[in-house]
Amino acid sequence: MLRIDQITKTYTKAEGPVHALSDVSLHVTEGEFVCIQGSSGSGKTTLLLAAGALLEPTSGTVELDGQNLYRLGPEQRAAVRAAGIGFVFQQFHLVPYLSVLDNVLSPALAIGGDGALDRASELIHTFGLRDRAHHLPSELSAGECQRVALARALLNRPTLVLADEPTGNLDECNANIVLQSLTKFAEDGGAVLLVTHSTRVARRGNRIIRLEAGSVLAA
Amino acid sequence: MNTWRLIQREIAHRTLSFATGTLLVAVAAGSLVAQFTLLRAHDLRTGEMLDEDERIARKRLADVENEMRKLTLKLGFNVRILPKDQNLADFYDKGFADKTMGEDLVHRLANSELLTSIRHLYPKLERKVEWPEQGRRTVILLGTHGEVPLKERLDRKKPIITLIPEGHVDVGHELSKSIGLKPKDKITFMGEEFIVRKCRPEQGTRADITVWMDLRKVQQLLKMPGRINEIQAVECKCAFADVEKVRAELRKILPGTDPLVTMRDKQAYVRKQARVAAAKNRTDELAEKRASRDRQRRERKAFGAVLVPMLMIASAVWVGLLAFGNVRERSPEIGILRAIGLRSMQIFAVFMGRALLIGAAGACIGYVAGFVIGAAGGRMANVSRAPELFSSWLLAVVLVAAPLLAVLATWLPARAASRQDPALVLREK
Repeated sequence: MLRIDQITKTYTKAEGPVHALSDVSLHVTEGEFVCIQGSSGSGKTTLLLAAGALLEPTSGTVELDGQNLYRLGPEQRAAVRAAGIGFVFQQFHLVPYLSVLDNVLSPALAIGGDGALDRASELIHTFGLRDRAHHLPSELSAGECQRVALARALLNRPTLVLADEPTGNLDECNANIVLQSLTKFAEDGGAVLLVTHSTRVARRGNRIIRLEAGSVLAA
Repeated sequence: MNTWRLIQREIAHRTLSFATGTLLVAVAAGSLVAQFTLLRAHDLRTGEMLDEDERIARKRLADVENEMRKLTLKLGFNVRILPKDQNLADFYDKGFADKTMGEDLVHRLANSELLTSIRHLYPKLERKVEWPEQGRRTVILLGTHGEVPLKERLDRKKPIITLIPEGHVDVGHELSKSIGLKPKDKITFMGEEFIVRKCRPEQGTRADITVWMDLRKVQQLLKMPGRINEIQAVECKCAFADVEKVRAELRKILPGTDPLVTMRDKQAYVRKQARVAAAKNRTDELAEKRASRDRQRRERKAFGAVLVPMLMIASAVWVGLLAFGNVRERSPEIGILRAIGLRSMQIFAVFMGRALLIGAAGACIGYVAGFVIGAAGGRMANVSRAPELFSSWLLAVVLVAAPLLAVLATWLPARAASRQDPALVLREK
């Protein structure tokens, strides 16, 4: 599924190079719900973006389903993301002028195909958003927004979901809903890589990887 | 869900931004349309004004022409055709030709298709005689046959000089006054009885001592059957301008007869010259007016040639800046759309589609606004005149050029958006 081998990521800044990741390796298989726990600035988000074909590491390889992501061009990586990876962020990142239904449908822009509307309706129903289908994000609560983001992440039936602090802005009830959904996704054969600084959230995963100053402390 | 819907929803969400962009494009398109419409309206108005002036001028000239014709008629004639062997010194001395020519000449002239320079032929026979029944007083006896109509004008126009009926005479003012004659009086002249038809008003010329009667009777009284001593041509078309032409035509029509052609009526000539001068003045006025309108057009065109490109460039720059602002504002949205797999070309298309819509809407609004402004500026703001000002090619140009302008202005911002690094945006957030 997802294989990360000895990746490093160094940002060049005016005050000198910053090593965000140092020699990190990780392997996530189908059905696994892996949590990466670490404090702020430990490199969690950098690792997640690298895993999501969004941020090319300075060295090392990232493979998804046996495909070396950074040997592909940007457009091919976009196609891989569209077809195989779902993203959930702490700030939801919903498109502000699209309704709930359109936000959920937005990944269909990338790959098109029939059945997107049925799938979106199904997800909206699953996440209890039926009454909110035609509302704008500004009219939703934080929990509803995150459920919309989750539904959007699952529209194209990805094999991997990458979640960056998905419960960071949610109350306990909504956090549970999100975590249960991710757990179910993993139980159904998908893989989840979730980054969090919360030990309580991290305990919901099958495996916890602790990251500190860009290096894996324990797995 | 498709790109079009995404564009639609975004425009509905950021209406002000879209409206501002549209307005800017409309200003650019409108200035172009206004410039062309203004010039077109100017041309149409110029044509109308000059046509109207020319119409008035033509009418005035026609009035003058008519006045001249009447004047010429009153004066008698313009051209005198005399027997070829007439001594002109004698003619001017006596006031009439003492030589004669055949009356058939006038009929040959009237029937000729070659006669183009004169009309209204008026044959006469004139002699100074004594009136035996009035103490042998000297009178001018003038026989007239009325007008011999030209062949081509037989059915078209009433003769301007009419026949004096047989057995009747007209008498000049001095004669009627001194003898005490009045219309319907019976008189005896050279042994023949006549009835006075008309006592002519005072002329102050030899006409005041003239007795007019039918040409046949005069020929009989003078024992000169079939003879005349002058053909007067009244209302000559070009006699003042080109007597030589009349002479040339007569030579062609009456070969061998070589009649003399002379002119009279200096007063009419002066009036003719005045008419020519008036026509020339009018022509000069029209030319001056045309020059003034042309000058005004050139000034408007020059002003537009500076203003329109300036407005277009300024609009394009503003549209570009607005697009950059739009890209900045939508940075998180672009990041997430890229993250969920949209290709850079799709992001580019989203911005280009928006620009195309701005351009199309701006073109429509700009065309209408520019059309109205141009028409009003050209003093043709009237709905009924709109079809004359409407230009389909201009509409086509604007419908192509305005979206093109918006697309070009948005090109760089759209490129920047499509190349935006999603990781950078997502990490910053």
